[in-house]
Amino acid sequence: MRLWALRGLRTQRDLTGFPRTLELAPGMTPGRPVDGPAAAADVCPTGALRAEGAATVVALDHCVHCQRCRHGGQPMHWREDIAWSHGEGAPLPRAFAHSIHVRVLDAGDCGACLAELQQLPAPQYSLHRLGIFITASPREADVLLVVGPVTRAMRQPLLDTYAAMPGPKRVVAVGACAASGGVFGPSFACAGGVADMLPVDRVVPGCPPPPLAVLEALLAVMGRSLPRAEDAP
Amino acid sequence: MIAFLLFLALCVGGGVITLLVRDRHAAVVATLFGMLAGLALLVAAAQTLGGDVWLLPLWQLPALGRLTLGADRLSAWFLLITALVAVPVFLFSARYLRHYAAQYRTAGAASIQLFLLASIGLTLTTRDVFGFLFTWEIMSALCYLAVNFEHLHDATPKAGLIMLVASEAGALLQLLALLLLAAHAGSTQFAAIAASAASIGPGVAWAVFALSFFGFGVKAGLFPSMGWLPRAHPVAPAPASALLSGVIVNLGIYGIVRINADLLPVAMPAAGVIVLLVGAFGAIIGILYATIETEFKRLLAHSTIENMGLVAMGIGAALIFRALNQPVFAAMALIAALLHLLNHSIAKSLLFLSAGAVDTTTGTRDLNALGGLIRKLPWLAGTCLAGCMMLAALPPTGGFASEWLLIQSLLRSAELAPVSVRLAFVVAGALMALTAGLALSAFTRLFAMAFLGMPRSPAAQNPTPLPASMRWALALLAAGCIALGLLPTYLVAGLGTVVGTLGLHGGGGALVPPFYAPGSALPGDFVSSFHALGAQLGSSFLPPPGLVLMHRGGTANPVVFAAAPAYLDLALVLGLLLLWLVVRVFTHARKLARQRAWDGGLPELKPQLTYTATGFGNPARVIFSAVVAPNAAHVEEETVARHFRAAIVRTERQPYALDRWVFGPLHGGARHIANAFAAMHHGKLNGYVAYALAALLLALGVSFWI
Amino acid sequence: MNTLAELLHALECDAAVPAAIESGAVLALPLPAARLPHAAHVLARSQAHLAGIVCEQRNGSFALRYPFWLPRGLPWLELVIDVAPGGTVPSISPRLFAADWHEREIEDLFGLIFSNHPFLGNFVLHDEVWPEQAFPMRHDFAFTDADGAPSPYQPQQMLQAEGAFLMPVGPVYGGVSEAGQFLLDTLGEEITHCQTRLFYKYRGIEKRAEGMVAADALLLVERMNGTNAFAHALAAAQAIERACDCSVPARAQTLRSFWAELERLRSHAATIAGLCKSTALAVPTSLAYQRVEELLRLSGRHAGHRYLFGLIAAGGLAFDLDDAAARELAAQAQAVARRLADLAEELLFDNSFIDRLEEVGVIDAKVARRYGLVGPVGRAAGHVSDLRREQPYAAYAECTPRVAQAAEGDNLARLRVFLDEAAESARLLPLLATQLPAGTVRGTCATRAGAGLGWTEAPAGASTCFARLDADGRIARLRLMPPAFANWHAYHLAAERFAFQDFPITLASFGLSMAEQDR
Repeated sequence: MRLWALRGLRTQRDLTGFPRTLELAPGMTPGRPVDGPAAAADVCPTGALRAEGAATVVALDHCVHCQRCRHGGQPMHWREDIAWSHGEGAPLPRAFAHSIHVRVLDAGDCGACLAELQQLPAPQYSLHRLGIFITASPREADVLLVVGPVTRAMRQPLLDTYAAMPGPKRVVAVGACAASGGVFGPSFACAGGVADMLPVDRVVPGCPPPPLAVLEALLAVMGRSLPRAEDAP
Repeated sequence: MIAFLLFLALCVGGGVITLLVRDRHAAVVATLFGMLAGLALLVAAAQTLGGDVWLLPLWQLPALGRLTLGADRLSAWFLLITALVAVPVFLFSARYLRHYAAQYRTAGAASIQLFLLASIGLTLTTRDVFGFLFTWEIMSALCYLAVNFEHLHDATPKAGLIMLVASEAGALLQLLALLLLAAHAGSTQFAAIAASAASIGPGVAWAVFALSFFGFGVKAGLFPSMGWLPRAHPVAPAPASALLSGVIVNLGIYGIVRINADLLPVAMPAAGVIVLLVGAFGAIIGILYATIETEFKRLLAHSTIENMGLVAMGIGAALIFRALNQPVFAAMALIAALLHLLNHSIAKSLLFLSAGAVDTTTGTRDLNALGGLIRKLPWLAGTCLAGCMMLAALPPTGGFASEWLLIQSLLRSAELAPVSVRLAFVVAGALMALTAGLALSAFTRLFAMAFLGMPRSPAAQNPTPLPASMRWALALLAAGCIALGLLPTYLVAGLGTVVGTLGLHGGGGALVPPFYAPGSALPGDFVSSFHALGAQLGSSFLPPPGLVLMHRGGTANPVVFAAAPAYLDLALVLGLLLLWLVVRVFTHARKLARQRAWDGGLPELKPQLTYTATGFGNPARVIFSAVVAPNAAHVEEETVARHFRAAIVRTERQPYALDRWVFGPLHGGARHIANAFAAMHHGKLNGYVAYALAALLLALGVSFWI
Repeated sequence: MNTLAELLHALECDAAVPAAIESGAVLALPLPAARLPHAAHVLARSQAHLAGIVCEQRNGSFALRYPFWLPRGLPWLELVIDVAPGGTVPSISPRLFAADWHEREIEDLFGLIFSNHPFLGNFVLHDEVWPEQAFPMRHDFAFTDADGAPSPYQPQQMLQAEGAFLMPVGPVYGGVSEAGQFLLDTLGEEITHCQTRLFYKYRGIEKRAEGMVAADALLLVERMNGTNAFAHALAAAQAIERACDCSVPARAQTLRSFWAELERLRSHAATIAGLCKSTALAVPTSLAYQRVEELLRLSGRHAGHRYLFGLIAAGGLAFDLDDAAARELAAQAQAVARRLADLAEELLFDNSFIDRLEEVGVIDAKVARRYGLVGPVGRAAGHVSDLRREQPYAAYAECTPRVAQAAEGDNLARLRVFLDEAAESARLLPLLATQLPAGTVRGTCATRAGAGLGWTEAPAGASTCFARLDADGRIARLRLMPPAFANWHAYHLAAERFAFQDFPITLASFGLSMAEQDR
């Protein structure tokens, strides 16, 4: 019988400063394309980059982080940040500001988004300290976090899960697939993202979005104040 | 006395009339007579309990002595239980027996029930050896007829036969016990036997104890002779099953108490220990089988074994306490046992009738095929829940009070000196605690599997409605379950006088202290002993009188145990009410959304995707596999095209534990010996001549030697 | 049957004996369909290992390829048969059980009937979701929701016994879990039979790839299983390179092995973390996921992507890693691996942890062989095969890994194999980093018409890919045969006969991806 608790206490702290600061360790995020020359848009396989005049506009929902525009002859400027989620939905009522329960639903994800979500409870991110808990039962969930483009067989389970959640509830679409269908959809087997099925309150683009980007979106849904871009060192 | 004779007349007369009227009226006629007889019996029992103890000497028979009828308070208690069960059972059977009309003569079942009731009354009131044995045999024969009613079923005749054989084997032992007593007393009258009991030697006393306990134990379904019970009780029609499990088993207890506590009070602590442990083993084996059984009525029959075991534990404790000069404790234990007997009878007849009701409305008693009945039959579910709670010993039902009292009286063994006896109590107490826990699981499972969840068969999906008379019968018994839980104190006080007639005084007073009577003040020494402990005890906050069960100890320990079931139940009701109000108030403004049960995203929740009764009971089966393990589980995989599994077929035989441990080997041994003898029959003439010669020589040798 | 000649003789293909025998070559053996079962029978008793079945539609008719790999020094064999329009294919599953699911998949997606296969249908395309006559992989497939109605949901019970029922797990279950379903046939407590129902995540990758340019198809393959993206994409890139006869620069070959080993280390660390999680040991779980995060950050820092997406390209790698960075990365990865090994040492001395793993979820060598298990799962059951050693690719011919193995086949054996392989990857990383050849990492690869087979030893086992390109250099057929496909097939056997509470542990010990299976 091992004293694992002691072992845990002996371990060095390795926690991110988020959400107090926006300080990022190297490799925490792949970053994202923000701006670049118009020619850079040609290499984009998904249409996330669109030339507008001399510049290129980024539709991040479609970006699959293939890095072609990063290493091409006319490279885009990539910014290493994580605060890129967006959405029109109102945050949850004030009562949820300190704790929410999240039901994660896989609707055809490739495994990378789920793997990033698996990292959320890891010591570096420690999701639970923020009062966010991943729950198995939608009956106690406040937020439905969907990954994947929504395959045909997962359509009904997705709708059932949403219906099984008590209100007030919010839907967060995580990853390029859930945001726009990504490389998979829309097709005969996949929808073009969660918005085809359910009202989505917040979208976290990225292929996959790093754990902190998801965390930032969840905090936004909780209505918590977030560090602004200018807080970044 | 008059009421009792009226009861007999109604039973016998009703039985005869039932046979004479047209078959389709028979059940209704029998119900009328049966209910009237039950009411008459209720009056008779109440009168006797109230003090009208009567004795009616009848005819003097040549060589067999005088036949005598009579009722003392002990008889009256059993008569009271019989009457309380009989009234709703007959009410129920009016409509129930109808569904046999196509195949059987319902008049047969109806009149047998009436005759059976009469024979029960007589068995409990005969006061002489011959009369007792005679009525007992009649009662046994009628039981056989009642069980064998559905004789067209394959299993029924065999079950009936097993019951008859077991019952006769028991009767033989009883006969010997009673004859030993009669021979010693020189009279067949119970009064004379009781008078001469003091001079019986220890050898005879042990013989009488052993013969009577194990003899009557067969009828009561006690360890180790209970194997017949789960076979026989379930195959009878539901009202007969209710009578068998609610009343007939009590007769076995009656016989044990009558002989070992009244006619020849047991003076050996070891005998009491045997009763205690036999009770404990019976209880645990009974409840283990109830926990895994999937047929409604068989489950109930196993639970009968369990409860009879609990009652036997109380009796055993009483015998030990009495033998070790603790008459008050003995009285308390016996009161607990007799109270539990009443509780069990009410609940068990209720559940057997519920099983019958389920059977009528759905056509099956297989718990694996039932489920979800609460939505279609809320009435039946409610009454059945009362019975289940009673047998799971949950408040606010009577089962809680009696089982609590039983375990409290077992705990009083701490006052006893002999270590071996205390050890026996420890073993018994532990087994009883385990039994109580398993009972909770068994009856949760029974209720959940029959009434909750999804219907697991088309039959359970569309039950036919339940006739009003059946509902009323069930409601009567369910009301009884609650009433017994609310006011056990009055019964305990009455039982004090019952056990008083057995020479065990002070039990009623000890459990329901007289100072809780209306208008009385707390006794000074009681209050001062509290004050000595530093407690300020005032009568102002004490509950009103008559509703507290307690036992007083010494100064250091003024109250050994105490409970006020009525207040407990009141608090329970108030608590639930409060909860309901809170929920009501706080959720008032919110919209209530109803969604289907969360099923993990399945397209549709199907019955085969939900737990079955077998699955629910399987943990117990795995943990207690030493007792309930199947003898032979046969697993066969059906494959197609070499590798592809198409089906896994699992069949198992599950012989009863005691058949495996005792009767199987006995049977095997007997067969072995018989085979050895059979080898002598080789068919050679000169061999047989040799046998004859050898036998002749042997006979000659023996005669010379003598 | 030790030599290729003997094997080919048994297959009645003596004429096909090549002049020179070499690893990495693919020897195609066209057969009449009628001789297929016999060939399968022969190969099932040899050391050949079925990688999968490739079905190609050619106008009306179909061509089926059955690639098998042979041990080191021998080539791949590829049985090829033609099926006339409307014809049936003799099923080889009764002789070679590993083909079972492949045949079922082809039946569902192409509508090809395999005679003598007892269970066809309701596999990839669930009956309650897809209409009966939808065959998405056919060229003329054009699906709308109006096309036919799905059938009602009817779960089948395998166990026939008094009181038997199905315990459904999924498709939405657990905390962060993939969408799939397990129907557990049980009498309560113990699992008698486990029906693994997958393809809830069927995304139609193979169909979607058709008509794509090779580079875009690689993006799709990366996202077949995002956690093992590099290995699978490498298999696809090699298939494309073989189809177009492209050469890959030496530096790219070594770097490919380098990244693949980094991915294996991270993937195995995640599997070990999942195993800790399934036993509900909070501290080891946290420590293991901490290691995983460290490895992810290493990848993120040096490859620009935490899961190595966008790295692979036909003809090499999309971008280079300089020598110093490679050495630094290797050193840091080795440090992480050492911390993981320390944790493992502590875990393996924790009795309560070992008790839950030892002799639970057992797969014996016979089953492993019969089901053709691959990767750590197969190796932990004594069925040892590793494509890095048998049919070397990238830089593995020069830098041969030691292959971990165990015989017990239980959860603990699998954990040990994962640990040993993680340690071996950490050993290989600095070796590869120090022998990086100079030069470019991206050769020119002009796509043209052709077909080729590519394979890698992905973290979960052998991953094989078949690619056919049309004259425009676009994908005409992309067939992905990932390791999960072989291993999920046998997973139910490990779960059977054990209690419900052992189920998640056994599941975690397999380290399987449903996304990879469903594609």
